[in-house]
Amino acid sequence: MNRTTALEDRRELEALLPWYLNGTLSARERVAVESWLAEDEEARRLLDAMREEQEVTAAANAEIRVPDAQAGLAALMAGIDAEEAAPLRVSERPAPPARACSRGSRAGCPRPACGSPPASPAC
Amino acid sequence: MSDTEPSDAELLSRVAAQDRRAIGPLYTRYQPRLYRFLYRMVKDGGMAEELVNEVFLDVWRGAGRFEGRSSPSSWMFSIAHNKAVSALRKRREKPLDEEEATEIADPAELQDDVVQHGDMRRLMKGCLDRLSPEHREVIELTYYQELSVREIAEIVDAPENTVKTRMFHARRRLREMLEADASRDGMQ
Repeated sequence: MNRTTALEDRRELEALLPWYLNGTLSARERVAVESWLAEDEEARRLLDAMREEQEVTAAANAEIRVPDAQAGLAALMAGIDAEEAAPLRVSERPAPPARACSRGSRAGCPRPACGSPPASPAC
Repeated sequence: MSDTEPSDAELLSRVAAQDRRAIGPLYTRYQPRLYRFLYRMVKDGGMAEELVNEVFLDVWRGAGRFEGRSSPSSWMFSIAHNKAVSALRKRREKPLDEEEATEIADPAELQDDVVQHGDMRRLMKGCLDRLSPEHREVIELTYYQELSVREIAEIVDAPENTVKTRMFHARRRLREMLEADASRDGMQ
């Protein structure tokens, strides 16, 4: 690649640059970006700018105090226990029960799922 | 990761079989990354903590439906992405929040930062915080979480070209904001 690199190619290479920086490009993409960097000072300036952005992003993340994992895990397991101890939700029930809920069985009223509010105050 | 530690895929398959002992190692491995990601998205520690546990509850419930088309990591981040989007929607954080945040940014604080630190990095951090959630997300996933274009595309459920374009615009917006702040504070 040389200075006559098409604008379209430069845009494509610039678009790849953040992922060159984080090391996730394919070998083919990496080679293309490296040859662009080798010949173009503007490309190297751009990479420096991205490196600074990456460092600032890392610093912002480093300031975050992550809560204790064991406490979080205990809360999660308690949540799983509670969910498994609770009756299945309506949507998870295999089939509607044969008997109707006593509420909502009035003539002319739709039959609501047990536990849900009636369709209208009159029901 | 040592050879004796199970892979993410192995742990996920055990979780799918409702093996409770597998959720702990997966949680310990991903909780810091997911918490930081969610914190950067919703900017609220308590909410981020709750959302992390919601992500793992979904993992527990849905591991059986994980088909391995993406990596376990991308799958968990995609759940976290959806949780963040819903939380922000509930909080009515609109794309326009960027401009609103610019208006409410405390100039005295920024000025103080400049005086104390004398560099552009503090300003840049403030600008990162004020980017739209969509722009902030692609920057976090690329720069901090160090994920590939393909992984990010899977997480945000968008084509790879959209991810590249989004990153391009996020960076451009960041630079515009930085220039405006620096100019206001007499740094340029």
